[in-house]
Amino acid sequence: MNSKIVRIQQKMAVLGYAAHLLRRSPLSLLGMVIVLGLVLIGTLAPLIAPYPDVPYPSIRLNPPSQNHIFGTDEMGRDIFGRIVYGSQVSLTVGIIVVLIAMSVGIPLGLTSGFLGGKVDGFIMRVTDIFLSIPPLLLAMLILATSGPSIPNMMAAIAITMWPAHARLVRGNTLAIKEQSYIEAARAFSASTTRIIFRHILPNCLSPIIVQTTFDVGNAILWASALGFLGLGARPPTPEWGLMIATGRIYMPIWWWCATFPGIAIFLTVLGFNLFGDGLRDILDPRTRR
Amino acid sequence: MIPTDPVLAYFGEQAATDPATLAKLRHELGLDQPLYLRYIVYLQNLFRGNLGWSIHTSRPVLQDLSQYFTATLELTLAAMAISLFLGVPLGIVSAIKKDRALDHFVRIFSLGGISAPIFWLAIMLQLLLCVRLGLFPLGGRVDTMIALTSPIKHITGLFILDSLLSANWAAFISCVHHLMLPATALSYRAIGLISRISRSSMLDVLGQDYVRTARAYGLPERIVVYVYSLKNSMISIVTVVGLTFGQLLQGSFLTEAIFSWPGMGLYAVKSIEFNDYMPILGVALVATVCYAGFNLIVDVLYTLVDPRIKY
Repeated sequence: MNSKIVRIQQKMAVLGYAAHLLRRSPLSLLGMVIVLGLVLIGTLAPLIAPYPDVPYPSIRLNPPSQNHIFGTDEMGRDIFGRIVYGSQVSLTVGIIVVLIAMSVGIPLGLTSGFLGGKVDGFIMRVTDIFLSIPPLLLAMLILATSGPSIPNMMAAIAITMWPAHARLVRGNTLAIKEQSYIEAARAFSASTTRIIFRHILPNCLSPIIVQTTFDVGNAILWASALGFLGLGARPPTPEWGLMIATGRIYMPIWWWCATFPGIAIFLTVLGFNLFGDGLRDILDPRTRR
Repeated sequence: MIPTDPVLAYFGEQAATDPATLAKLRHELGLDQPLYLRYIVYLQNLFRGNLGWSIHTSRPVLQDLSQYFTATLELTLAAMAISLFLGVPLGIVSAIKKDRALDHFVRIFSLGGISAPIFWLAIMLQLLLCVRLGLFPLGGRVDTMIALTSPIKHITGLFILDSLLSANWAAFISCVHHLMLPATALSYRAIGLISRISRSSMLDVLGQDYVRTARAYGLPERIVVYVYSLKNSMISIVTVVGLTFGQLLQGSFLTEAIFSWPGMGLYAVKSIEFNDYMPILGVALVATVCYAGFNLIVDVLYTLVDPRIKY
């Protein structure tokens, strides 16, 4: 009972120190607020959006006003409402892409780092092939052949992201597997699977969490870029990149159609980057600046 | 739904009406062959310098790429120059003035760079600097009147270099004027990346014992920073410069679409619109070769920056 209380107290102390570090960095705190705000907006989108996402031809291309704070687009739809609904699309894309990349990259990285030898060489050469092509170009190639849609876009971006995860996990695995506690586990006849999942993976989690946070922001950025090029979401989906591509046609007179979705992308990615910086400071003291 | 069938892209939707015609057309294009055979045929053509035919330009892909490649190279190199010229000093100054106002400004500035979508930034710069203030042209590589009255002599394909070599000053000024805004928009993200890594690398080196010793000896701060510290932080900076080239190359695809810059990026985007596969493959091949080549140059630069590294 006492040991349980001690463990809970230790965990509370760690969380308290993490909160202290986060409070010391106003920018990281801002990032956390932006990310949480985005999650809240995405979850409560139907309640927050003032108008349904349907065309109203009579109020096409109206400038920002009290009724429509970001104005209306070429179909008379409220831009603020579409940005709110678009946050659902962006968050979904960001999270699913990163989950796919992690589910491919982490096992491959662990296997490559732990087993070494020819297996390591083969996996690393495969990652080299994927890393030799600029990611956006690779995603464009995949989507040009598979056709533009949100699921295809998520798969294309995930394909470009998994090598970084594999490399990161492999690097950490190589460092951790030389530790004496791993040797002790082997001496106790622990299986390879147990060593990897019980000892190595938990100690790799910190850099994975930091990388994942940055990658969600990057995935949202790339999804908007592909949407802008017409390779992602199709109309009338309220995807931010697609909104900018459509709004660009009406520049410069009806400037609000392309401006506000861009600000939404910028703030979202900024939030994830700030939060990722803060997490890195908490989880890895060596990189604290 | 946009069709992605190359037969329909080449011959139009009417080809789909008759299955016999569709099969015959597939056979003519070699699309009924197994994938590995088609790949071997592609490689054979590649070694003969045949990258295929472009539907929307009605020209060989190689001819198109030789025209558009230099435009992309010019834009990318200009953006790289701006990124290095601004990013490295900003990172170094930020490290030296750690936790002061300048450091906070540089960190926010560089975070903005890596967070802002390039295509949106390019549109906003166009709106503000081209339309509202009239300081820069909206797009293109050179002023149309200058291109007609004093055309640039084709030497390398890089308009700025060619106009300089042929002493065509009107064209030179026009080309620089047209290049400034696209290159600036493209470089902002790279400036953010380079300044962050430069700052981090410099802080690592400035925290070393030998730097503390140098300061304890009473050496001036500028000697400590620029003679003892800077060179040792260059390995990380050179690494990120190599990575940045790939970022700039893919960013140029978006920038070219905004500024109507007649480069590979715009060519690739139009090819995707027309489901024109051969140009897309050609662009991917050239971009990958450039990316790999630049990383090779970076690997060689390591040996210059750190003599301990030998291959």
